[in-house]
Amino acid sequence: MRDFKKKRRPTSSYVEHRKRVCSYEGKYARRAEEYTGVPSCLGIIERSPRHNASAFIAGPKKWSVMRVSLRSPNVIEERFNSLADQWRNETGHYSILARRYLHPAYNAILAMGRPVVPFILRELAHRPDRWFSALSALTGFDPSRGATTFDEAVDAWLDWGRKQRLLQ
Amino acid sequence: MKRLSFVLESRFPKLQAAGYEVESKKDPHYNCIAWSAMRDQTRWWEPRAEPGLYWPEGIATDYSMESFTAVFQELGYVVCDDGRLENGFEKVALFEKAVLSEEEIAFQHVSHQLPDGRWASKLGPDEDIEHNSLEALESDDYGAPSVFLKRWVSQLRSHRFRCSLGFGRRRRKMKVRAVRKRRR
Repeated sequence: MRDFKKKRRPTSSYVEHRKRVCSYEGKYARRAEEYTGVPSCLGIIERSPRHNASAFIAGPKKWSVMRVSLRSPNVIEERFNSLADQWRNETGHYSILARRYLHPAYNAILAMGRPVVPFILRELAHRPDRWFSALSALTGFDPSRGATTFDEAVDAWLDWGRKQRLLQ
Repeated sequence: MKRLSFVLESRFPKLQAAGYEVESKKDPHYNCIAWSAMRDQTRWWEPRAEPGLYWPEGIATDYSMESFTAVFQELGYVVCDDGRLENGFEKVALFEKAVLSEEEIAFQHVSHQLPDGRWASKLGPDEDIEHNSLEALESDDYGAPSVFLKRWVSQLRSHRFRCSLGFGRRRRKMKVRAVRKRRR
């Protein structure tokens, strides 16, 4: 009995919290996929505002506003890093951007949705590459519209990221 | 001597045997077309609307081999038979890959010939290299050179380049002197 109470005690640590919300995973993971339209969605839907949110989704009436959260920000980061490395290694020597954008790793990054934007911006700051079309597609904005050079476009996106507090 | 990364080198099976030198760091500002056409290191030449991209006016914006050939013809190049060194001419070779569908792009890469007969290539946003033969870049990714173009350049310029090959140290000294003189 004592042990049971101990287990049930709410804790502020992320690990404990994650254990608690994991019980919803199987049921709601599928719904997350339906809402986001991403087939391999890593997220789960839960109602707790404490969880690290990545996006808000207006669901059907029954659900009102729901929050899609990810199991861990590290999961997205690791997945993004591995996909970005793959994309860079396998298309780094391609002379045509159109060909680079067709690569499966690039499309997998796009399929990860908006949560990946901070990681792309960080990548853009550290290792500038042609991420502009991915950023435009994911955010719906194009701060680099007036830019004429590559460096101007990079600066425009980084400024935008700082204003949106997606980049430190 | 600096070498390409193992991953990149493995993309070109003949490159190591043919011999090459890395001439620059990775740079996403320009691609092989900009480098071979105008030695342009500020713009990425491609028919696409994106910041930092450039495409000459009057050239079709599809990705066909004809369009890429037309870019060089616009700069005074004419189609020729092969990539053999010819005195007074500089040549470019366009790499083409067999495509299975209309969505795929046949054009893959362009290299330009140096006055000593070797070839220079910018590998996409990666490094700029000088390789001893054109076949060095033949691969699954780049295909093979299919279109050759040549342009007449001053024979004097070509001669000067060859003469200067052995006098690198002297040239550098002269450059340093010129800079110092300008500062005064």
